[in-house]
Amino acid sequence: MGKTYEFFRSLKERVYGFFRGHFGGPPTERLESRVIATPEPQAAEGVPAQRQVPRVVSTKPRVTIGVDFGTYSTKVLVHWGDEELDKAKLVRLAEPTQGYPSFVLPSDVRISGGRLYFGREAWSRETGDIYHGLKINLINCAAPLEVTGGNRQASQVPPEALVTAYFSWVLGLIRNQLDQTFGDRAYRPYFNFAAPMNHIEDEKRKQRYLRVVTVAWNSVFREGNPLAHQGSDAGVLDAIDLQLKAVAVPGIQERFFEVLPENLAPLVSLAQQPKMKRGMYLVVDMGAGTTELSINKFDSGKKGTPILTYWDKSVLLGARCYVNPNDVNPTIEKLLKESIYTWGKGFDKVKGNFGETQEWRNLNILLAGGGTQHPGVRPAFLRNAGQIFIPWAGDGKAEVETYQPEGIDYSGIDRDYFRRHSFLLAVAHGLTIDRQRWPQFVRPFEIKPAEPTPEPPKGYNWQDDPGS
Amino acid sequence: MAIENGPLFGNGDAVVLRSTLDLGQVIAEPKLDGGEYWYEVRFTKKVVWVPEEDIEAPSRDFESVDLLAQAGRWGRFRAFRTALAIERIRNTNRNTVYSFNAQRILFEPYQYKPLLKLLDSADRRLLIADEVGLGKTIEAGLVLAELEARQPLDKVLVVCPSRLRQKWQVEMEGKFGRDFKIYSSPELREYLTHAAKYPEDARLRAIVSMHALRIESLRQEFEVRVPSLDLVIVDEAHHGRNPGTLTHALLEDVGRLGQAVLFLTATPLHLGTDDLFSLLHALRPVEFREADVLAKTLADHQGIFEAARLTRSERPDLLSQCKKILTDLYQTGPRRQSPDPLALQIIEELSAGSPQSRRAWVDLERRILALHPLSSVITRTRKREVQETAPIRKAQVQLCKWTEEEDLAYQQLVGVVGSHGWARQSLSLGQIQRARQAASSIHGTILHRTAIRTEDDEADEYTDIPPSEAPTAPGSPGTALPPLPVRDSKFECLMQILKVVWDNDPRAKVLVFTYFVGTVKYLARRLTESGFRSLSISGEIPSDPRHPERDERGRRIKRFRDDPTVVALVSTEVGSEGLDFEFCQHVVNYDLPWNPMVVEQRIGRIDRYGQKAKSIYIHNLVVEDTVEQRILLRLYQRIGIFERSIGDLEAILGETVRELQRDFLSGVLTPEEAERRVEQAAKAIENRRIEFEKLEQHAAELFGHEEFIRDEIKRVQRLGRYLTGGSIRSLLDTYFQSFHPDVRIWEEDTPGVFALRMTGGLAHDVRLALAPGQFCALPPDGSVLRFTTDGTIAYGDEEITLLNASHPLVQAAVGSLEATMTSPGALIGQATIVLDRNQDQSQFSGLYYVIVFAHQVTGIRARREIEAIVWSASGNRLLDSESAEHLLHLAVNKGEEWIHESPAPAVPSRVWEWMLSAALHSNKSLRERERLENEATYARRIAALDDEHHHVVSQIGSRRQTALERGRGPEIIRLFDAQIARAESRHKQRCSELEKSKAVTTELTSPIAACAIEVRQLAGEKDRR
Repeated sequence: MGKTYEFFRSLKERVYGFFRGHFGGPPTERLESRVIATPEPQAAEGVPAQRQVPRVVSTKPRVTIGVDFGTYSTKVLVHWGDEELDKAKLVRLAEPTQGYPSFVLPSDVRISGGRLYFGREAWSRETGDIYHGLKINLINCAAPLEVTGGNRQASQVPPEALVTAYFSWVLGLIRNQLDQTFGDRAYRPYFNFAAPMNHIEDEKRKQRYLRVVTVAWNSVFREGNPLAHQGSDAGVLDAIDLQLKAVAVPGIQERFFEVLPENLAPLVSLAQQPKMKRGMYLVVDMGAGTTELSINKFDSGKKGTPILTYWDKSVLLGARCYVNPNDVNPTIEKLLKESIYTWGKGFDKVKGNFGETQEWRNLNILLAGGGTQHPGVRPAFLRNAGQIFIPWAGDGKAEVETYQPEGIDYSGIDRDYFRRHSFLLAVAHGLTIDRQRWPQFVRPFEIKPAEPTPEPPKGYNWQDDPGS
Repeated sequence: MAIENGPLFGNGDAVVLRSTLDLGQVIAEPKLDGGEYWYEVRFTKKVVWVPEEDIEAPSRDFESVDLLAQAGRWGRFRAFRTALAIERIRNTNRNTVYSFNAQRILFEPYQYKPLLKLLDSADRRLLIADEVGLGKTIEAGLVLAELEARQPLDKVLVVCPSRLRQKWQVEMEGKFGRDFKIYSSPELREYLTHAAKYPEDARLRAIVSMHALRIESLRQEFEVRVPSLDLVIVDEAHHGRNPGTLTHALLEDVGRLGQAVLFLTATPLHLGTDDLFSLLHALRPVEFREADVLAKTLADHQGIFEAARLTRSERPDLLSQCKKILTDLYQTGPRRQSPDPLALQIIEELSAGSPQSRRAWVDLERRILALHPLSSVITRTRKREVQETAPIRKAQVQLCKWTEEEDLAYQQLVGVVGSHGWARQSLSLGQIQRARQAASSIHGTILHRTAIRTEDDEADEYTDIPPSEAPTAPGSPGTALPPLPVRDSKFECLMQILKVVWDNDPRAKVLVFTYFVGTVKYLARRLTESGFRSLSISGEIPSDPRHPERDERGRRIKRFRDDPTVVALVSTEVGSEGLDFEFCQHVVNYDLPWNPMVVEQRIGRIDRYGQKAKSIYIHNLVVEDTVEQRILLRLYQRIGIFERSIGDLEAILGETVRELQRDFLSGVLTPEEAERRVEQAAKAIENRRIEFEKLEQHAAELFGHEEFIRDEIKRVQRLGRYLTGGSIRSLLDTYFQSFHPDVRIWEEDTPGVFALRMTGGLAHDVRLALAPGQFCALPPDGSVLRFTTDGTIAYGDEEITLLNASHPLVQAAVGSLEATMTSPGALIGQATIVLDRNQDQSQFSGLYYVIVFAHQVTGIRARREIEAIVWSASGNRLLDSESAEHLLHLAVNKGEEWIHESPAPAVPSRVWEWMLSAALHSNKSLRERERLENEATYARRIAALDDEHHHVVSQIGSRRQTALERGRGPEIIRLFDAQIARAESRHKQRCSELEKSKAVTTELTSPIAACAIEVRQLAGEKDRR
């Protein structure tokens, strides 16, 4: 420890000492800090030479936007400043909508009278066709829709176009808010988006998401004009479709947005929590349409909290399965089975190593996302956790907790109300952390690419899904 | 920045993080990612990835704080706050009270009075003569904590009566986190041998009984082997007030050994000037050498208090009288031969005009009082001065009537004939004891027969029957146990009282006192059986506050306090000695002790500081027509012991009660005679009380009111002249972010309580920061450490760690961060203070620039003083020093990071120059003031040294003369000559040491920290966040 300090001190002393050396010792009864002339900076001895560089004058803050595009709802958090000080700020993009917490947008699009409506408008209007479950259709490349708009003829529109229009509308709302806060373009926006995939990343799925995001991003932050507004002619979908086909996704080095694994985002959020303790975590993030599961070890290190993800997966299982009361118990049973499976796959990797298995004796099970809030889920885990996840008789324990991210600025929202619903924000919170600052995800073992997400249930239809 | 131009920085470049002005170094090749270049940068111990636009090359602005401020390069407010905290912790500042609100005690402003006096005095010797019950131990503990925060205290010795040793040990550990050891005389000798052999390993935290230190050889050994102690505290110092006694010699010896010395006494010092003199002589032998000189000096200075009183009214028309008093004393009166330069200066100032501000009036009063010879050596606080809202005592007596069956059982138990405890013959001590126990509870006596013994054996000062006389054979005058009476009339009476209490408030906590263990056990069981959960404590229940796992008594008390289902605690005196039950409103005296001091002690458990209720209730249970009713109850009611505190009971009641007790126990008094004796005793007590009140009035004249100290304490609080919780948390935040990025602080649900999760690395650093001999219990790796920085919160919950300046965690933070303070960027910040206009109207909205400097003063009172120079950008003026200090305090406590997206405007260079000039001007004024005070103190000291020297030499000379006259041999005469030579040499050495501090210098440091502060006021709005 001492050596590092000494080195660092000597570096600073050398840099500043040079300046001080120019002016002699401190004058008596005068402040030491007076300066008469400005010397040219020079490289200090023993330190790599510092090149002459122009002074950076830009002071635009970097704003990282995290969007959790869920099956039923979209949650947005933004973060600016730097990681040590500022909280992620909750962005309220719409008025409260019945059936949704006040700070989320329904992930819905409605075409009514040949016009497009999004979010609350889409949810609350009664006429026309409503499209729920955009996310599921996006990941499954669902069949094109036949859309009739205004005076035009009916045409086939792929779900990507509908999702792009929705994104563009959401990004437009976000930009309006940021412009109000910072002034037009007086900030550096960066956009993080999550797709249901494990930490190895499904390249095909990622590309599909990236195309959608690129078109939406370009329209809002490059051209300054969202592709669609409330009440836009549905014919815009054709144009979007054309853009999607023609768009070239910029390389990771150039683009100001990224699609990240939805499995990892809650883990990133968790790693930011002051109360987080090191140890084994089984994270079960059940949204409305998909569930992300992972078994991880949170460690500590000089660069923050390295996370060792033994196994993670994304499955098509969500709160929408609770709609039919007869499906509740089978759904919870399936969730439990998936959790056991995930745990088992992870444990397979260490079971041969006695030392490694010791850490698995204390397991933290974190339940995140709206789907885990069903009154049957937590008791099911509580009942089974000790026996299933801790197969060491009488030795070790499993704790079940609902994960609610802290460190979010929710100004303007009642504290208790926010606390009751903050479990929804695990993914969005993780996405507000710059990807470059994400914890180090250690990959000690080769993990197979994500298992293909199952086909949508037979007969699944856009309109069948009840939403909310 | 266009990425086509390539990265601006390379591996190894020094860079500055724009938001915090932290200096770092790029440690890897840049990476193009997400449309920007990203750099891996090491800041102190932390390595982070930062985008290019967030960093810059260190420019010339980073050379000094003033360049940064004038360039408008403000860093984080956290940096400013941290720099200030480090300055306060590392450099002991005169205007920072380190122990303030930082110990595990309830905050009572008056308890800081001795501390402030001691800090202000030149030689750190003080007699604390507060009235009983005001917490002298706490005051001494605060002095200890304060001195230790300012400099390492290697050797601390507490001398007290044997019975108080454990109390000192527990209080020092529990309230101040100091691990003291009780030493017997052999252990002390062992330590001294060790200390002589290994002086570097001679740390001492000792509690020694007066009895042990009375051994002269031990004290001599002490003097030879450990010639200097950093702090000596002598409790109950009045035991040594008689010159010629061993205890007095003890006081003189330990007084000589100590660098700082505290004598504590509760006995009022109006017992005559001789007693006062002998204590003062032991404390400051040079200054108080002759009793008659002291008496004359006190008489001369009597007018000082009057002069101070005249200034207290702040009426300019009274100043001429004030001036006359001082002139009469110092220019034309008894002190004209050697007038005090400070007095002359005050007279001059009074001629010039009256003070212009409240502060100046208070300062004038302080300076006038400082002229009194006792002002810096004695402090006394009286209850009436501090207890403004004392609860009203409401007493009620419940008379119970025994059934015949109970009366018979009583007679059989005691072995006498005569109903209701009126014996027809003289009783033996054993019979008296049994009679008392049976009167307490017949059922308790029969059921717990073997428990007949006094519980008060341990509490020697309140025992009404000495332990040696307590009956040892429970069963004597040969009586079999009577059958258990069917009814228990006394318990039924108790239940009637308690039902009324609990009907009104089902959660009311009731403290039931009885004298006997048997009654305790019986009552606790009966109450619980009746549906009221009760606990019991007595001397039989093991108590070991230093080892919680063995401290059953402590556990029960905690349960009684915290568990709402437990509504009663049945206790003996011993079981609850020294404990606070300020959360109770009801005390039940199930039996009446024969010593009124015990009654007062019982009531004192709830009638104490922290009692929030307006009224407290004292319920007394007395069996009708018994000795208790006709004698004790009558006496107690007559002297009003239940309704009011009798003050110094021992002095007022002591002898009278002892005589009364002797007469009763003799058994020769008839009931009528006994009643007459009660009446006589009550009258005698009343007369003594009146006499005492008069003496107390006289004593007030001896000490003066010292209102200015109260004002000073308020100023410490208002101006934040202490290490606030915000400062400590900010320090820790910075420390963790720089050195332990995986540790973060969060706030618990309880306001003021915080937590962090320990890591192995942090624990290692904390252990490295431990002072020699210091111990710090840390939770294991991965566990949560709950902490607070507020002493009052810590007082209520022993499981919360109290972090103050001397805590190793804070010391570790300071030790590590000090190295980073060399960068000007680490000293400058910008803050926003949002004030609620309805709550705080003291500060106007606007932008302020703050620079904090320190004045380094040398001389007799060498010290460092922090000063903030504040420029109001909105008002275009400098703030006066008081307002500046207040703004700084507000910033430290209520300041938040700058809330605007654009930084605060730069300080115009013209303004910066003005602020510097103001700092220099202030430094110059300080030097002038300090020179004058130093000169006066020097003159006093040198005169005292000369006086003492002449006195010593003349004493040796007279002994030499006697020896010559008696025709002693030349070797004896040579011995005296050598003594004179030694005295001469010692005198020269002391004079030369004093000479070194004659010259005063005041140096102004470079800025310690600087900040731009925006004050916003929100009318009626709640906190922004």
